[in-house]
Amino acid sequence: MASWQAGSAPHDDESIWVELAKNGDRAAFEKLYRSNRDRICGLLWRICGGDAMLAEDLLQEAFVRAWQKLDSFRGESCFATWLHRLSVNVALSDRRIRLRRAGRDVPMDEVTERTAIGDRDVFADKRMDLEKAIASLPERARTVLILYDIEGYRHAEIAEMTGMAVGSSKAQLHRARKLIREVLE
Amino acid sequence: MKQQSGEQKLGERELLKRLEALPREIAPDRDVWPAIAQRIGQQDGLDRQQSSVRWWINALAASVAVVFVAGFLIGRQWDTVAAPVQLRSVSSNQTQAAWGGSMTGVLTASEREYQAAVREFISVGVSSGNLPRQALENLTAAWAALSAAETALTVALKDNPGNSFLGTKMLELRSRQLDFLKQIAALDQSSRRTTI
Repeated sequence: MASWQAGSAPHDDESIWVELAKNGDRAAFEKLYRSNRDRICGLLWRICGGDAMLAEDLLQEAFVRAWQKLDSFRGESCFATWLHRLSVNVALSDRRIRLRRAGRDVPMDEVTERTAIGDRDVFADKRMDLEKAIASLPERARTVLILYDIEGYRHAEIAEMTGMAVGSSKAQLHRARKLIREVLE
Repeated sequence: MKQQSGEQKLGERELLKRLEALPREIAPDRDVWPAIAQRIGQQDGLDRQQSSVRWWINALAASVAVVFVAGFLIGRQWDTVAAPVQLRSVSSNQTQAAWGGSMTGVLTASEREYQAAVREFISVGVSSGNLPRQALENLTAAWAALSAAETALTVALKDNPGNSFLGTKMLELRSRQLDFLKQIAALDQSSRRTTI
């Protein structure tokens, strides 16, 4: 189940690119972008509920933040793992900002949470029933399902990133799986 | 979960298998690298200026620490001296005249005035983005030269606390450092006005 191997050994080439990028080498950073782009895009696209434009905006934001924070990357995990986590935080931060802009002090009503936006979903041809079911989930349930079942994070990590309790993360996962089964049946 | 029926458990296993089988990589429709490159290029320009100022501020902070330690070490030998005189500005003539009486008191007052000015400067800061890069580089170099002189004098005074020549030079240095800080504040203020 855990497909995302946090803490796996760093790739040699990647380590070199990271060191070069830390010293301001933009060409090296572009290599890091090219080698990680699709992986991060897939993550963000799902978290955004299939909103491709938002996913691309967040992809851009995630790599800009990564460039700014490269000095804080200590090499304790591989760069891809660090970047993945940073990208999740960018996506969650964006959602918090959207909620604040919506003038809501409390989490959105689950019914009115944003799900996939049909007209902007340029990946429609790539989507399967399961992807559509995931995109149709309420945001929090979708985020937990993606992070736990697809990306392999633990509940404690998800709780830390999302600011919810571990118990809430488990409950959201249970709810997400139940809703997906209902959609697919 | 343990209460679920076998049929539902099987359904969940099947769901987990399908979730695992989903592709992890999805290519975006447009390449966002040009936008990223543009943004980090702009950021780099700002960072160079800001890091220059950060280095400069750090140098000031380090200088305060050096002065504090030096003041503590030297000050222990000044404890028997009468209350320090107030020093608003220090000129060469004044320092020479003062030396015969209570040079240690003058030095103490000078240190206090300088440290107060530095504390105020650090708390207020400067608007780095408004200063031209060349100006920042010149300021950084000028402050580095003053700091180097300060370090050398502090060490020398520690070894020779009664040396009048060293004491006079330290007072002159403090006077120049105070003038420097005032000029920086004026430059920063002027720069802000021209950019608003």
